[in-house]
Amino acid sequence: MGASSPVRLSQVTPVSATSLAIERMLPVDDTFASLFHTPGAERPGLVRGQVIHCTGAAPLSLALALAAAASRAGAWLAVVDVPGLGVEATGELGVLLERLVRVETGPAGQWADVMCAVADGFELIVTEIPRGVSAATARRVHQRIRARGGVLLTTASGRSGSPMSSDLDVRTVSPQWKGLGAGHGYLRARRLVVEASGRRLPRTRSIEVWLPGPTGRPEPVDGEVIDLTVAAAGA
Amino acid sequence: MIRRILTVWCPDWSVVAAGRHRELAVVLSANRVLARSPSAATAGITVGQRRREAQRHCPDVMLVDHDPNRDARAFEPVVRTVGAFAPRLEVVAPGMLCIDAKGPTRYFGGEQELASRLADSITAAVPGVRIGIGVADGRFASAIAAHRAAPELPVVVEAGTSPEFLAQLPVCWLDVVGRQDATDQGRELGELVELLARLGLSRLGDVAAMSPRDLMARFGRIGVLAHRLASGVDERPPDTVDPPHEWDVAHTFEDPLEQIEPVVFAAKSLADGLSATLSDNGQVCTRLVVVAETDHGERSERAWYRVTGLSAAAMVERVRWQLDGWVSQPGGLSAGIVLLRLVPDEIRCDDGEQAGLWGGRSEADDRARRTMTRLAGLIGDGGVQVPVWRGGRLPAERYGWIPAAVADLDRAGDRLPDHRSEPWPGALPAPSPPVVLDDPEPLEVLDAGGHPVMVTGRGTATAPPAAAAGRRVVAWAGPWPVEQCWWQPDQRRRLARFQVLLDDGTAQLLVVEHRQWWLVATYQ
Repeated sequence: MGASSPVRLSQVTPVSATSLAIERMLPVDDTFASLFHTPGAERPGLVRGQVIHCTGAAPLSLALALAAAASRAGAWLAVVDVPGLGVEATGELGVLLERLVRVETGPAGQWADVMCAVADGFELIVTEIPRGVSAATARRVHQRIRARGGVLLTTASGRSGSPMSSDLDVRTVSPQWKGLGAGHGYLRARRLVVEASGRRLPRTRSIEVWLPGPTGRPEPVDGEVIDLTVAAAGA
Repeated sequence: MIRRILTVWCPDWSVVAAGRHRELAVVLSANRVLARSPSAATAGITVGQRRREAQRHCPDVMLVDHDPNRDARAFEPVVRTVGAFAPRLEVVAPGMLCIDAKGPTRYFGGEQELASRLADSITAAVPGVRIGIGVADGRFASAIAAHRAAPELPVVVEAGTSPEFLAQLPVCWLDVVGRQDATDQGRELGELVELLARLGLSRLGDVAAMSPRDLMARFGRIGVLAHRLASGVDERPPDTVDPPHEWDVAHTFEDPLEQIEPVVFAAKSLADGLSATLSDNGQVCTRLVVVAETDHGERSERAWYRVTGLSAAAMVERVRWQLDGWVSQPGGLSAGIVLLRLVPDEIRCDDGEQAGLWGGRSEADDRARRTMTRLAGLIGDGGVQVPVWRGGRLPAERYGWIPAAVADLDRAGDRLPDHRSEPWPGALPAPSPPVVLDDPEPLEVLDAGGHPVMVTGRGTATAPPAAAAGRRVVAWAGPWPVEQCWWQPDQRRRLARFQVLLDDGTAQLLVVEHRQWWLVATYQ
């Protein structure tokens, strides 16, 4: 069975009757829309059952920002084994905190069992795959994700290669912070390039975004011009 | 015929449960005072105050976080003591229970006698606890009598005089029910009280004199409830019937269970089934009897009461409380649990209270909840957490995490209030750091000459930072000073925050305290 076979509808629990027109997809923020166009789908979105690797300079911000729109539409987000998750930033990136749950698997090496259980109940999962997870274990988790129709976003700052195969690789490169000067200002926004590549993308797509923008939310760069005059040093 | 009810009430139970009632302490829930110790009360701290206000009254007060499970576990000795007098008792909430006074009164020769014997036994079982005991017709009058009782002096309202007893009291006593009941109805009752007082109905007698029809027309079901309470009629409406026994639900475990987590998990599905049956029939359960038995025939039976009705989540919470207390009693259990039964003992028509996010729970919500229960069984309660807002100026202070098992997921507003998005004076503006280190890492920050950078007493840096943790600093800002609890020597903190941008493109939030630099958060 190829990975492209559609997820059986009986396996998919819709978020709610009205929030999703296309049951194969979870909505994604408009900022990232151009990276997530799937042939044959009306709207861009995260395809259920997929594993998305987030890497580069801002993997966690990116993973949370990608999960945000679906979380607001009714999906629950489980963050598994991500130490020190900043709740405030998670909310600013657009995730609905009422549907955010943190799971810590502890030192017992139960990551795979926990991930399988999490996949049963959560449509969005963000995790940092721990060291020492074998390819076979990773495959088991991947299969469960695919069967249950959730979306797994993994974060990794290095480029060491993940034991889990991915459907989509999203990288954040050339980050540029604005707003901070030599002894004045404060961190206002970060401009960076997001590149997406994957088995089903004919060529790498890339966009430039503010992640985070001045309010904490991601914003497209070519949209409104964001005024980031550094001169005022008011914090 | 209204039953004679005896209510035992332990004021500020959460403080007693935390073992801090002899100290200067308060228990906080969602940044507000939930309970305070006697010495804190003397210092002017009242229930419902914000943390900051309480600290203003009393700077060195000890702050304890609220834990409903701890409250319930600690209440077990009281319940067992009272259970020796009257086996059929109802626990309203940790800290408050009531019994049918008729039988024990006859046995002990009088209500005063029964009340004083109870008081003696409870104070012997839980030293230092303050209790109020009230006896009256009906639960509401009895609860109020208990609230008005002095520790040594039970309040007994003679049979048939409850309406007169209530009529003289101010309407704010309606909120006594609202306060121990964190449901929408409990809250509405609190709002109604204010409104009634503004309308000139300042005493319960004034409300009772109104026609229930007018109250219904003006305030809806909550008005009728208020009228029923105020006129001293028992909360149970006259038209209720006893639920049929087919509605009882039970689960037998093939293998005796030593751990309570799987039993609670089974309780979840029982409670879901039971509340589905009830809601199909337009009913809600106000009194639930939970029965558990072990392989050796040990038995725990307890009735739980809530005037506004028990949701499935509330039922599971009570099963957990009961089992927790049962297992942690001295000696523990000699065998595993083999049976769990939930019996809806009193039901009434559902007033149409809607629980949930935006007027209803979706299938995704239910699925996530079931999974959380299962995960808690797999990795323990502490491994599955939901965020709770605390407020503060440092990223690590602004939000905390609490086990999902103790959070009421139907009422996320309790832990994530709407006003949290309002600016907090002195906090850094958005965007916030996505990674907040659980344990800050020490690091070195040097100036261009290789000397450590410090912050002067006037709140300026001694030199521009040029290197942090071995990397070159490209941009920086600060110091933004924070001074906390300056009035209290042992909790006092004085620190300064810096944002730095390093040459590899990473941005970090640093803190310098007592001449030591710490990495507290990164903008990953």
